[in-house]
Amino acid sequence: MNGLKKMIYGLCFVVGAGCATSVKYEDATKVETTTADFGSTDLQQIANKMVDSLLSFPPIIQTTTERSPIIFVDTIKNKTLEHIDTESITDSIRTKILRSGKFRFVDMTKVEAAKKQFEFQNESGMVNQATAAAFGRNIGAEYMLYGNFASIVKKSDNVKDVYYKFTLNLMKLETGIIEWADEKEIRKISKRSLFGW
Amino acid sequence: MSDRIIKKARDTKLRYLWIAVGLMVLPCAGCSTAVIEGSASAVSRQDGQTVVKNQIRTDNDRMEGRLQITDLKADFAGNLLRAHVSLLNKNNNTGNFQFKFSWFDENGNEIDSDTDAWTPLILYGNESRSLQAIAPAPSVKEFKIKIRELSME
Repeated sequence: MNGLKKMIYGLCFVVGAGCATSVKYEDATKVETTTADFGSTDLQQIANKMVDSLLSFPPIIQTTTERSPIIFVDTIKNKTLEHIDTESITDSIRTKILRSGKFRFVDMTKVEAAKKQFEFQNESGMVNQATAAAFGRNIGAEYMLYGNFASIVKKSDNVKDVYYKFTLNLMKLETGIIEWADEKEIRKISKRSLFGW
Repeated sequence: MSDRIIKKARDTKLRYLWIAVGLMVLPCAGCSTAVIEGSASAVSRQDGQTVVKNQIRTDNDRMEGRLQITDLKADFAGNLLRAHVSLLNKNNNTGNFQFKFSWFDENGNEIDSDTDAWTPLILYGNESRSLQAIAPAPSVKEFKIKIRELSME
């Protein structure tokens, strides 16, 4: 009996020891289903779908065969109930498009910082003018990338059903025509069970 | 009287045994993840747009019974390789699969490894589905698709 008791205490100790905080590296590309909230897999799915769709759209293939037009990325309106960093989604999309070599980008969020550097180079008297970047040589963007991110959430006592819809549009600035658009839908359900983890 | 004491002792012993078994089983209950994987590769070149190499490899017998890669094609969207993969769920039950593309240049070197993520894919019973993906760079001449089914995660 004493032996059995010791065995139980030992097992309790082992199980208890397993509950201590531990840290390990995980695969960043692995499907993540911790909760039904927006997660890394959703971000990766949206970015992949949007880039694949844009780069395989026949009129875009035609436009980008001979040259790499310039795009500026406007904001993605977050209409979901969650706090989602939509800039992170557009960053992933921009990186993938840029690496394909099909488009080039201008970053409107860095205009002020670039302007300060221009002024320093041209007006401070500290920079050799032969090496200073000249004013008025920036290239105007031809297209604007913008979109919406919406969600529908339904809840019951034990079930949460989340539907996400990400829409992205590419507008030609000169004509105002939307040259390409696509959307990605994601639906996730989380269920709370009585047993298990 | 002594019989009752012996019976009580035996019951207590049994109870302790059950607790011991329960404690041993409990940590393992959430860990039975079975991963099975199949992979395929295809090569397409800009001169003629024909599939040069087309291999379907299945690592696991169970995967072979669950899912079939019915077709593999590659063509070019502009100068970017485009992969086309047709899948068939051979089972009557809905399958929860995950797929991931990887991309290689003409020397077989992987391009931008770990940029493509595992993507969830639901295939209903006996459903066939086509997947498409665009290579991340013009230097890509070959693609691979890995598909796995997670029975529990």
